[in-house]
Amino acid sequence: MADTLVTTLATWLNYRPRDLLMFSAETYLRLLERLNQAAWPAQWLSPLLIVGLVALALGRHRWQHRLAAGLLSLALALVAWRFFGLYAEINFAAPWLAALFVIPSLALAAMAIVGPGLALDRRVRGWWSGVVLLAWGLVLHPLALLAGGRSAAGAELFGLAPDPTAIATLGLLLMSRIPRRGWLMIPPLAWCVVSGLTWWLLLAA
Amino acid sequence: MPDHHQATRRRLLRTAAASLLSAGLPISAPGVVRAARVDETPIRRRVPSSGEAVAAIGMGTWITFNVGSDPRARAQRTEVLRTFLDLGGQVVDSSPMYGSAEAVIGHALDEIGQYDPLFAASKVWTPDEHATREQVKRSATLWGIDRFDLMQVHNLVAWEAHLESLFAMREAGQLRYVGITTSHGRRHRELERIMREQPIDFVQASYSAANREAEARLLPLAEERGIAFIANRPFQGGRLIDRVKRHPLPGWVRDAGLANWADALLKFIIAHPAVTCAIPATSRVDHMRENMQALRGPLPDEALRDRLARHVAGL
Repeated sequence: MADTLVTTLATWLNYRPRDLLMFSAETYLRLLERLNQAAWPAQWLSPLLIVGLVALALGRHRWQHRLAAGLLSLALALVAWRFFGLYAEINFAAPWLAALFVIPSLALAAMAIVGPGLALDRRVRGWWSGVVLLAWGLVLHPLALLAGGRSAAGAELFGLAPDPTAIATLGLLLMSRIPRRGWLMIPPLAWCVVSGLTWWLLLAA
Repeated sequence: MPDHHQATRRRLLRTAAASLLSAGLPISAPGVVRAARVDETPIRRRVPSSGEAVAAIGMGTWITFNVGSDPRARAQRTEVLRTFLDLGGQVVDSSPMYGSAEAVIGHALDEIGQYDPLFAASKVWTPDEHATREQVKRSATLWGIDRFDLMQVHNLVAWEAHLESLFAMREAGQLRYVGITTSHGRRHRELERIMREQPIDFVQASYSAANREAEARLLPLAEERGIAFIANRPFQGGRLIDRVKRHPLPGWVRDAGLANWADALLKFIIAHPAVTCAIPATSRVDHMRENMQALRGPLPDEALRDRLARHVAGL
């Protein structure tokens, strides 16, 4: 078992990053279109989900914060399930990458059930950075892609596509007073790096 | 009595020339080339270990056929494969490493319902030395075929054990040929050693007008050892063809009977006497048509190949 693992790692290490890109930009864009097609018309719930989530997280009561944490956990879980389920068809690494959404989803679920939940606090350090990231993930990112020629069918929405969900999650965590939130920010940050590298390689191919 | 016995002299000459082409033998013609434009006979090359002739332009599936279950993309790839087979193509090369490509090929073959000219080539790609037969069987199921014509060890992964199993399968008639592959110029020394020591039928490595490294040792060794050579990455993953297409096809290339850049770059490869087949990959029917033009018409001679490579290097 250990030998097989070592050999597998050695096999993969034999490749350069660009060799590992198994699909074209066209196929990746089709993946996002198919994601939206399969979800239709549920994507209209995406703005409601985020507005409700932020409103609850700004509330005064613990139950509101817990519900907010539950909604963010749900959004991350939806991406892990729907997006990475499709992505696994064209990328062997997809199940591993899905962990970058499953891990914070589970942590937030735990906070929703037994913890303090997700409370946003204007006094926390990083509030405005969080606001910018949240706005970027929810509005600027999808609009910039549409302005860049992306079809509406392939629009990236919070709770469906990984990029806006990861960026908005980073923003919400920066705006929150969750203790040791830095640890929770590692997985979505790692996804942003992976996604950036993927697009860099796709566009360079 | 066969028709050609009653044919005109012109027809007889055509038939003779076509036979020579089929045998992969050079034919001199004024101006350019090793093979004259005699008719629409596809250019074929002999597999040295058997003498079987295969079409010199094949089809790769890396990236292009990894489209998952997307019905629209699968329909497009089906048309690409249909065009390839309709235009005389035979060798289709894939690998378990190519994601969903093998399943997409299987879907396309099922839609086309045409297997006769197909020369099915895939690879074993697993570090598990005991999984050779299992992976070959799984690939055959995905393709929807009974057996592969060629099974190769992908990128030399666990090659000792896999080759042993593949030789046994070849012996038992469960596949026809055994090969080994590498790409991007990796591990050529080790590949050479395998070519010298193992009874393989095929070797696959990168070779193009912009990457002539294989000419130094691999191609002469393949010729010496009677091993068929499949040239992968003929367009360097698309970067080479994209780069040269930004420039007009030179008049002297066109005068040599080469119709477009794809035709020129592919004929550069298959004109090498040790090359059996080049396997460009594409997701577009129009590009497949361009590629398949290289299966017919004149081949460049050595001087023209050198000039073409120098020109490409300068672009």
